[in-house]
Amino acid sequence: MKAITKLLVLFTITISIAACKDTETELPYLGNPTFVNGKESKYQVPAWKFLNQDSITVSSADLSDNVYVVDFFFTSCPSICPKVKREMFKIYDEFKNDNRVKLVSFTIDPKHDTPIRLKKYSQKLGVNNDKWWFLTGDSDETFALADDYFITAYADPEAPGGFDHSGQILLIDKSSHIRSYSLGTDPESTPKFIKDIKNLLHTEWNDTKE
Amino acid sequence: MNCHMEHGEGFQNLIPALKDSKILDNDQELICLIRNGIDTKDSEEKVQPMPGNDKLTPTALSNLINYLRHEYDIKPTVLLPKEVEHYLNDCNK
Repeated sequence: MKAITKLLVLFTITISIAACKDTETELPYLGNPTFVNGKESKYQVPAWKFLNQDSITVSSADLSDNVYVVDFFFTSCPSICPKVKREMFKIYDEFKNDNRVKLVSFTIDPKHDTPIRLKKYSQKLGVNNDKWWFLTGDSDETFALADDYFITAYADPEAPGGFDHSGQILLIDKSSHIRSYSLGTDPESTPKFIKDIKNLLHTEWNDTKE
Repeated sequence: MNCHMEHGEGFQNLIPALKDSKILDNDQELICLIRNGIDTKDSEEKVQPMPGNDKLTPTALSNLINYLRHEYDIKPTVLLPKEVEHYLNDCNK
């Protein structure tokens, strides 16, 4: 009898630990799923194609073997961008040597932010052009894409710099699912976000490499 | 604080540090810079602009500059609102 109780206790503990571990490692899938014939399909960001700072056309398909971190900005932004970029830079620095992680910054001011200008920006930032893309393209397409990433971005002559936008930083997995986000304007939300990236790397590559 | 960061350290080569910045010693240049900012929209070299502040009064500017010098300069010198007014006349765009 006693032995059975012991076994039961042990069993319960094992299950609790396993459950605990599960919630720790599995990041949520953000966005509303769609249902086709009763089958759930998780929200995915639509495919995109833009020009990077080296004037090379790149697409979301090029990132199918990466997890990537996204923000929307413009180089002449006088308000929140420097703050958000500093948090992006911390993330860049943390994963500098991990090729599985990439960073993607879309400009919402493509009229001024040409690849040449974006290149200058990335040079001043001192980052690797292959690791961190600065992308420019059609203005309407960019606004629509921001919406797909649940980010507010629109032209507003009244806003500082001429654009209004939110400063979220998003984490995208190999299959274009949004798995986490942080507030780029709040440095205190970055450590948790970095932890989430590590978590996602574990689950996507099924390993324990930090 | 937002752009030049909490301790005035700046950010990479995009945003200059305020700490030990030479421009803090130059009354005329500093006042015009804060007033007019830097427009980089048509610049080949610079990408990060600095917004101007056309609403700051001479007293507000004087307070701001005295604070900056106290905070970041090695030898703080006090600038009076009257002096600021004088310099402002020389930096209309």
